[in-house]
Amino acid sequence: MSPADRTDDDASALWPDRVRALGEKLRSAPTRVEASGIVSEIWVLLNLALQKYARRHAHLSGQLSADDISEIASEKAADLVRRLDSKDWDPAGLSSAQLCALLSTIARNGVVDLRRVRRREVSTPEGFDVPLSSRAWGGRAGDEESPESGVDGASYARAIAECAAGLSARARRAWYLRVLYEIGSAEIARDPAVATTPAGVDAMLARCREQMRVCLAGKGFPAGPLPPGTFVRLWEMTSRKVEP
Amino acid sequence: MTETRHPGDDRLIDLAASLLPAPAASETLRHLASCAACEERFRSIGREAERARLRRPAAPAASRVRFVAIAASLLVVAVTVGLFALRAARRHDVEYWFPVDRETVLVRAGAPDPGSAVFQDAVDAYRRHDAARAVALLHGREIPESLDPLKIMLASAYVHTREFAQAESMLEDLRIDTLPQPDRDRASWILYAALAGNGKAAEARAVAASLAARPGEFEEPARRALARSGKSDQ
Repeated sequence: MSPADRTDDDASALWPDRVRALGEKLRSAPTRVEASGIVSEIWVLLNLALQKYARRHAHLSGQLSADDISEIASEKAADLVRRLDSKDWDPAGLSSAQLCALLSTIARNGVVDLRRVRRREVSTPEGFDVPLSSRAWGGRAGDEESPESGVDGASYARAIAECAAGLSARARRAWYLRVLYEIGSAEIARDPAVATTPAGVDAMLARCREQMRVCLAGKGFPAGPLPPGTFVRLWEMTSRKVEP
Repeated sequence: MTETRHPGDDRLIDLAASLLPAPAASETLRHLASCAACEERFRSIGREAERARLRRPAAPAASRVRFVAIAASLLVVAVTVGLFALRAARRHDVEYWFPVDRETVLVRAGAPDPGSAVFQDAVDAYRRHDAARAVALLHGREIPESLDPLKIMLASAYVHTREFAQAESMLEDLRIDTLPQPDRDRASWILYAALAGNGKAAEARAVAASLAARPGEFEEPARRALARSGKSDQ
């Protein structure tokens, strides 16, 4: 079975229950700040779930680009959050299966609508997965080394984490968002921990890249495409902290 | 989880959202570290989680809310008078209830099945003028082509619940110009209310003008609506 085939609903999935529990919690949230935190978590989970379903429906009915999927999920999640905010929708009132079915239908409608709009357009579908590239490090396309360069992900991840520790918290956050997730400068600039202009992000990243290159070279690691396993190790090291 | 079983999207979402218990998270991470394709899928989900966090709708700051509240209270007297007049005018447009009966659903749905029960419940709710219930039952649910009148009914329900954009979108999908009469005019009238409610005055007027220009159920209401919108423009 290929990994891409594993898109069926998993009965043991925890996110639907979490969304429902957050909906319940929202009903009795004592302060605006607490309610805002709850809505933020719901927002992220809805985005991820809607993307999952949109990808599935797009796959069944002809592919859309990754940005299209993201846009559909974002738009539909925003609509649900608006309805949540106006007490017009309450996930706590649904079973997990109903919630999944609802989100799947919403995503499917989004895919159908977008495909209808694009029906006459000729597009080049992108893959959903953009490989980590040397561009993230500021290199040129075509510079990439083979992932089988003999460097193992765990060692590389440790070296990166050590070198990144030398960056300021703000720069580290921006650098992680770019290198791990290839998020654009405009979006990174909106991150509360970064809070600058897109040009400011570019300048900050240019300094980070240089500092990281020198540091990694000092440890015997060339700055380049991350070997398999590096992302997971980095995520594991950092996910339980504030960043990334 | 064995080496050959790749984690599904749900498991990866749970992991990215830090919902998995520690043993399950460790097991999944071990698999990801040895499966480049799975790692790439997880990275993609992680990226979308980050992007979602960066794009989340901003909650209004307390100070801003206070400012808005003060400003609103200063304006309230002047606005109330205007709003009252505007609402009185708009109520005419919103008050329309699309005629639909249970039999329509039963006949069109053919053999009874568990799925059709919700459509019948929605019709019952709508006929009781409980638009919110009808929306709750049908929102996001696929309505088969054989039940197109229900789509008009749902659009009308959205107008009643003041979800004008949803109503507009639903009617747009229906392609009103292809509907038979009298449904075409009825759907057009609902579209007029949706557009007006959505602040699309010019488009709303164009729909009303089209209805007012031909004899039928909405000739007079559309003329009155045009007259009202003409006054509010002055």
